[in-house]
Order: sequence, then C-alpha cells, then structure tokens
Amino acid sequence: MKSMNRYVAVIMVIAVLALTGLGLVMISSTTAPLADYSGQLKRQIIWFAAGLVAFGIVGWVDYKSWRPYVWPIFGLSLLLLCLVFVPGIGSHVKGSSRWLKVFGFKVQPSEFLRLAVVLLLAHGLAKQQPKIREWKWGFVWPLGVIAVPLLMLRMEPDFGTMALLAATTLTMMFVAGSRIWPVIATGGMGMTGLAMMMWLVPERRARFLAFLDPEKNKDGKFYQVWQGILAFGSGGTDGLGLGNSRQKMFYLPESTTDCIFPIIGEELGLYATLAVVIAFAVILICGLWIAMQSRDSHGMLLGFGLMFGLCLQAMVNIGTVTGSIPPKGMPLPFVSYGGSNLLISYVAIGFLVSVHRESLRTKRFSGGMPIDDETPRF
Amino acid sequence: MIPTKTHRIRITILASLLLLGLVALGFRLYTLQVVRHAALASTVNKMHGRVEKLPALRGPILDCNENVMARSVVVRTVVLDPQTVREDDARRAKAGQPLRAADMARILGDELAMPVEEIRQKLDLTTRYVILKHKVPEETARELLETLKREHLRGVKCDDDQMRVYPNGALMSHVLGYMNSDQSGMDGVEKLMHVDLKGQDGWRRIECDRLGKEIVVFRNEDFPARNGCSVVLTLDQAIQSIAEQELDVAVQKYMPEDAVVIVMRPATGEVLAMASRPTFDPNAGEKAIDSLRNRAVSDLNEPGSTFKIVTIATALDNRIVTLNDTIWCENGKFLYGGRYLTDHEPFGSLTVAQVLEKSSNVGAAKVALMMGNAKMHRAMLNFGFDERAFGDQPGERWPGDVRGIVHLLKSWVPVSITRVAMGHEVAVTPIAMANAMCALANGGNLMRPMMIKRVVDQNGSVIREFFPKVRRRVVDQQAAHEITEALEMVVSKDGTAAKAAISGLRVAGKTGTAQKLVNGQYGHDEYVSSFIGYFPADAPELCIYVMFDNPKGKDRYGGAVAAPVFHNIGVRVASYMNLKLSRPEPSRVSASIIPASNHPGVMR
Repeated sequence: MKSMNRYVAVIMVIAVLALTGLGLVMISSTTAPLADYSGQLKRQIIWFAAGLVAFGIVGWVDYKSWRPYVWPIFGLSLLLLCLVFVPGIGSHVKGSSRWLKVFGFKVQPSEFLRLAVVLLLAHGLAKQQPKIREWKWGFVWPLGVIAVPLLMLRMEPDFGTMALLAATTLTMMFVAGSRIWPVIATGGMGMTGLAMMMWLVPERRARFLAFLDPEKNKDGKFYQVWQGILAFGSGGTDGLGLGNSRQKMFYLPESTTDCIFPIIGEELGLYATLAVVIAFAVILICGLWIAMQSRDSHGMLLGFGLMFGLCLQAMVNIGTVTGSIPPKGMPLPFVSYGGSNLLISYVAIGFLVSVHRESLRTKRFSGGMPIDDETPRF
Repeated sequence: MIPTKTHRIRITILASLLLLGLVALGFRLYTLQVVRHAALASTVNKMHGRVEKLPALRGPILDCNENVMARSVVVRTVVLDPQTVREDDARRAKAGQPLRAADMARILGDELAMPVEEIRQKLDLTTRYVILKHKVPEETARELLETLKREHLRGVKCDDDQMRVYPNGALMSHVLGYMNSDQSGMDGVEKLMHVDLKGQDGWRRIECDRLGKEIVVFRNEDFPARNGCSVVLTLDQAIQSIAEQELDVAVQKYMPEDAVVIVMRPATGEVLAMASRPTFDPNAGEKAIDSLRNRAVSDLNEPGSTFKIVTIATALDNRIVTLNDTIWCENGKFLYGGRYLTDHEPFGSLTVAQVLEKSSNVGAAKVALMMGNAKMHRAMLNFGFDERAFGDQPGERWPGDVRGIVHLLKSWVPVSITRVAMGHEVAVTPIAMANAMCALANGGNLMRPMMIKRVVDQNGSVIREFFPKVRRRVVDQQAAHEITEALEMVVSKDGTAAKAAISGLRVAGKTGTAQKLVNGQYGHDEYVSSFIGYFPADAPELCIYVMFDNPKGKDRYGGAVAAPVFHNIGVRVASYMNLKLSRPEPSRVSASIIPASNHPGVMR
C-alpha cells in the first residue's frame, strides 16, 4: 500500500493522457468528412499543449502558494463571466451566451469559474475548520460565495453548470464537516426547486418526459440523444472500426464535442466505452486517494472538489448521451473537443499532483507526523 | 488543520456513490451495445442504407451494314422541390435578405427555354416533386445546376433518364417502331426485340449521410447495369432510302390512300426494305394514329391478278397444263356458275404463258377449273396465305402481322374457284404476297421472311443469329422455271407491265389491279394496283413489291401505276448492288394475239 501511494499520481496522469489521446484520435476520425478536416484537431492539439504547460506549472508549484490569490482569481473569473454579455466579445449560440471569442479561440468562462469556486471554497472551508459546525462558517459563508455566480449563470442561462457548481459546493461542505442535515436539506430543496422549475415550464417538462421514452421522441427534442443511442447500438461489442462511423455523417450533431462518446462506441465498440468509464473510475479513485492522503484539510478539500467536479461532469456527459438522465449538454473531460475545458481539466489534475507531492514531502520531512496548517514553511 | 477520520469517511461515502454511478453507466452501455445491438443496428442500417438504380442504356438498332437506325442517349429530367425554395425564402425573409424565388423562376426559364409564368405556378405547388421538363440534354442540365449553385439557389435536381433517337427520322419507321413515354417499344423491332434491347438495370447498395448524399467510402456491393443489345436488321438503309424516295414520288403523283413497297432477297427471304405510306416520324411526340400502322404486314387486301402466279404455278407443278397449252378465253366473257367473268379486253385463244402475259381472268379461271377446288385450296394453304408471314412463335411473330383470309373449302360456292384463281375471295398481306413471289423466284422454296439478322450484346459478341429458313417447297424446280419464263413476258413490250422492264436485266413480274369493295359492291371506281417482280430472272437477287391502294388519275392499273415505281427502284437498287447485266432480251414464247376492243375489264 505504501509503495502504491507513490505511484497513484502517475497512474492517474497515465489514465488522463490515455483519454486525451483517445480524444485526439476520435476528433481526427470524426472531422474527416468535414471540409475543414484538420482544423479542430490542430486547435485541440494547441490546447492540449497549453494544458500540459499549465499542468506542469500547477503541479510543480505548491498548491498552498495559490491561497493568497483565491479571491482575486474568483473576482477575475466573475469578470470574465460578465464579458459574455458584452456584444462583440461574447457570442450568442442557440439562445444562450456562454462563449468568449479570444484570438479566434472560443473560451467558456464558466469553466474557469468552477475552478475558482473550488479554489476559494477549499481555502475558506479549510481556514474555518475549527468553526465549521457553526452556521455562519459551515453553511452561510459557502452558499453566499456561490450565490453571485449562480445568479449570473441563471442569466446566461447555463443550468448545467449551475447544478454542477451547486452540487460541488454542497459536497465540499459535506466533506469539510459542516452539519449534515442542513446540507442535505439544502440539496433536497435545490433538487425540489429544480424539479419544480422543470415541471412548471411546459417546454422543460416535455423535455424531461421525452427522456423517459427517447424512441418516441426521436425526431423532436430527443433527436440528438436518440442518434447517440443508435450510434452505441450500431457499434455493438467490437465497433465498426476506426473511421467507419456512419452517425458522424451529420446524423449526430456535435459529434466532436458533447457527443464524442457515442462515436467512440460506434467505431470502437463496448470495449472502448467501458475502458473510458474505467479510466474515469481510475482517475476518481486515484484523485480521491490523493485527497484523503493529504496531510492538511486544504489539500484534501481542494483535491476532492476538483476531482468531484471532473467526475460528475464526465458522468453527466455519459449519462446524457446514453439517455440515462435528462439531457444536459456537457463535454466529456479530456476527450471532447473544447479548449477551455481541456485546459481547466489539466489544471485540476495539476493541483492534484501538487497535493500529492506535498503529502509525500510532508511525510518525508515529518516522519509521518501531521503538520498543522499553521506550521511555518521555509 | 489535519483531516480527521470523519473527513475520510465522508469522502469515501461520496466516492462510493460516484463509483456506483459509473458502474450503472457501464451497465447502461452494456445494455445498449450488447443487448439492444441487433435492433438498433438494423434501425441504423435502414436509416443510412439505400439501393441506387444503375440504369441500363437501351441498345441501338442497326441496319445490315451496321448503320445506326435508332439509338438511346442519356438525358435528364429536371425536378423542382418548391418546398425547399419556400423554406429558403422564409429564412432569407427572417434574415432580412431579398427573396430569390423570382430569380429561380427566371434562371429556370432561361436555361430550360420555358415560360417563366409556368415555372412560377409550379413554384407555388405544395408537393416536393414537380417535374419541370423531361428529356433535357445532359449539357443543359449541367449548366443549369452550375448556374443555380453559383447563385446559391437550392431545390432543383436532375434525374437520370434516356431518350430514343432515330437519326434518319421517318425512314424505316414502320419497321423500327417507336417508344412510348415509359420507354417500352410500341411497334416493329422496338416491340419485338424489347427484351433484348432494354438491357438489365443494375443496382448498388450505398449509404447516405443525413443530407442524402452518398458516403462514397462506404459504397457497398453492386451489380453493374447490362446495357441493351444491338439488333442488326436485314434491311439496308440505302435500299430503304431508295425505295422510300421512289414511293414518295409516286405517292405525290397518284395520291393513293395507302402505299406499300417491299424489297426482298428471294433466295433467303431477307427483307431489304419495307415501307408504307402514310408514315410518321418516331422522334415526334405526337403521331397520327392512322400513320402508325405498318401496312406491309397488317393490311389485308384482295391481291388481284398477282395471285394468278399461284394458280398457274400450281397447275404447272401438277402437270395439268404446260406453258404452251392453249386456253379458249371465251372472247372475254365467260359464264360459269350463273355469273359472268370478264376480261379487260376480249381474248380468243391464249397459251398458258399468254394468260399471264395478258392477265386474262378467264384463262386463269379455266386453268383453276382444270385443277379443281381441292387442289386450288391446297395450293393457297401451301403458299402460306392463311398463316402469319413471320410465323406464330413468340419471339418471331412480328407486331401487327396478321393471317390472310382463305375461306374453308366447304364454304366455297361453285363460282368461288373462278374468283380465287384471279385473286379475289382471298385476302393476303403484302408481305405474304411478296414472299409467295419469292418462292417462285428461288426455285420453289417458301421462305420465312427475315427482318432481323442478329443480336449483339454490349461487348460485341453475337448472342443470337438468325438464318434463312425454308418453310416448305411449294412448287418444283421445273414449274418455278416455267413460271419465271412466263412472267418475263409480262414485262415485255406486249405484256401488261412493259414499264417495269429494266434494260440490261431480265425482269420477271406480275401486275395486279384488284377492284375494291365499296359499300359491299365491287365497282370500277377504286382499285388496289400492285406489281411484284424479281430480277435477274435466271438468278433472282431482288424481289420488289409495290402496291397502291386507290390511286387517283386516268390510268390506275397496276401496270401503269406500280410497274414504273418497280422500274425506278429496280434500276437504282440494281446499280447499288452491282447486279451483272444479263442478256438484253429474254427468249420469248411466240403467241398470236387476238385483237381486242378497248373494253375495260375486271382485272389485268
């Protein structure tokens, strides 16, 4: 077990790199029939390179050294989020403003916001550990922090990120040790509210009901999900072979971004899709292992928050494209085409590596004795 | 602060939940990709897969020298989808761009040479498949599509089609036939050889993307189209052309209701030319119904005096008479069976040869009487007048070919034999009559007329070949020789058809001038005038049949109307075929000719 501990980060990074590699191959395969067949691949490789650099920096630097900057980072990401509403910079796609256009690259500020919120919550909840069971610090403060971002996301609107952010916050509060029942109650209220919202707006209700029977609604609201299901089904166990997807021929929209997973299923079969699920399980286990091994609660909360967000996102994506949950557009981390998501995911992995390095270092220096947050460092 | 056990437990709880979720998703993937694989895969295949037709091109029809008489070319059918045009305009209206439907109508009108108003009306239809124009040349269709693409207009596509082209227009039209709008042959060769000509459409399994375009890399198994075979005719375009030109000149002159000319090769039964008037252009869309009938095979006429060749030849064959036997011709008025039979001029005694030369009805009737009813009837059946000339077998039965009418022996009245002997009370098609003459010309073999020589597939290999076929022997060699000798006298200066003579060639032939039944009465107003002849008489190469139904003018007998046409065609075709000139004058059977008044007779 002890020797395992040394390699847990390596295993995680290998799984991440494998997923990214698969993503690049699939983007290349899926965009082959397009006129601009190499554009997405090139951009994704550039973002991958940027992600590796960011991963290196964040992984090398001690995660605790970011603590003084969590508030400025949070403020900056809120500012970026504001920019999507500015005409000329923000772009309006399918009725919502989620994107910024910077030097020809499309950037999604909500991705940065999620990172900033986790950084801020990990910092704050760790700092307030002794007072965590008080209402003010264990409950009001974290919810207050995410109130503003949630409101702004409501305006975009981007309900998926909202739900993800809220879920991350509540679980971090739970892990940080706040009282259980208020957290559960808030979660329950949030879910009820979400359900109410869904039920009261007829369009959303229709969409929810459609999810229950995708085949009946395959031409309407559920077209995309149904095409995804067809892709999985047609792939079968062995898949049609790399490059042989039929569904990517404009039947399945967004086949490089949110819907890349069905194309994997179609071309490479059940073995590949299960491998992807297993890879995420490996990343999850490794990540949470790292978080639990951390010698301080900040590292633990940071590691947990980032890993939970990443994994939940993956599950929402896979759940959506397999028609297991009501559809919610989310990219599959590391695999889907999309620069900001790839970059942020690599930064998250970087933080986990940093947490891991620190826990190994402190163990070495303290001989296994716990080091308190307030222990001076040199 | 150091993480406590509580923290770890809480993380473990959440981690377990997430892992449980991942396991559930894994199970869901298993359900989709293994359990429901077959059902979903077949849905997908139905969605993508299509069977594309690979159309076969109809084979050409060629004359005996492989000149193209009919061929098919690929054309396009321009189809409009007004719904797409409307949708595009609705989108433009939303984006504040100008509407383009009017541009569309203008471009289509320009390129297809159609009135713009008509296209506007079609643009208002609510269906998604509106045929704008059939049979648009490939070039035009391509230009049209390019123009529309340049203008960013959608909603027009071009379907594959083919069109039959007859490069020679009306030439040989009755033999070739024509095509209806469903691309099936309606008459003549087009109908008879339809199965060979049409070929076999191929198919290809393809997969299409969502826009309906083929994904070429996934092109599946295919079965290539087999283009139609070429059909090579026995007819010769040059001879056909000569025959039709001469026929047209005569038709202009005599204004008959119908006219037929047939050129055959007696030795084989090959038809070298066949034409009838009125005619039609198979390229034209609308054709007069009356002009479509191939009168050479489907019109029955009482043949008249040409039929005397059957009577005399049979008598010679049965050795009942010889050419030099004399027949008393009753001075042109013969009472038999209570009815008078008259000649066009009164003859006294004539030899059997002279009966033909002068075309004496009385003489022919008396020869028939010497044979008796049974032999005469037997002879008519023998010559195949109650059969279809081209036969009854499927695959050889010529479209429109009809049986002649030969009355049953038991229904003959006493006077019948005298009428049958000169070609009345019997109705035959021109091709049957010409074919009977060929049998005498070739030494007594009744041949099966041939129009089709061979069928050649798209690779050039002969898949079917037709050979001359002897149906039966109708007279023996000697009788055939003798009748030829007599028939040569018909075209002599004293014969009825002096105008048919071709200098330098020995011509044998027989005129016919049948009275037409008008309102149930044989009168002297309307005739069917014909001439059948062949040459060179010693080794016949060509047999030419010329017939005019109800020619106008002063002299309307076969010798005056049809014989000159025979002569004109004969001279030109003989020259085209390099026929060797034989002895200038045939040996003649001397005969005394009884002077006669100018009393118009029944037959000549």
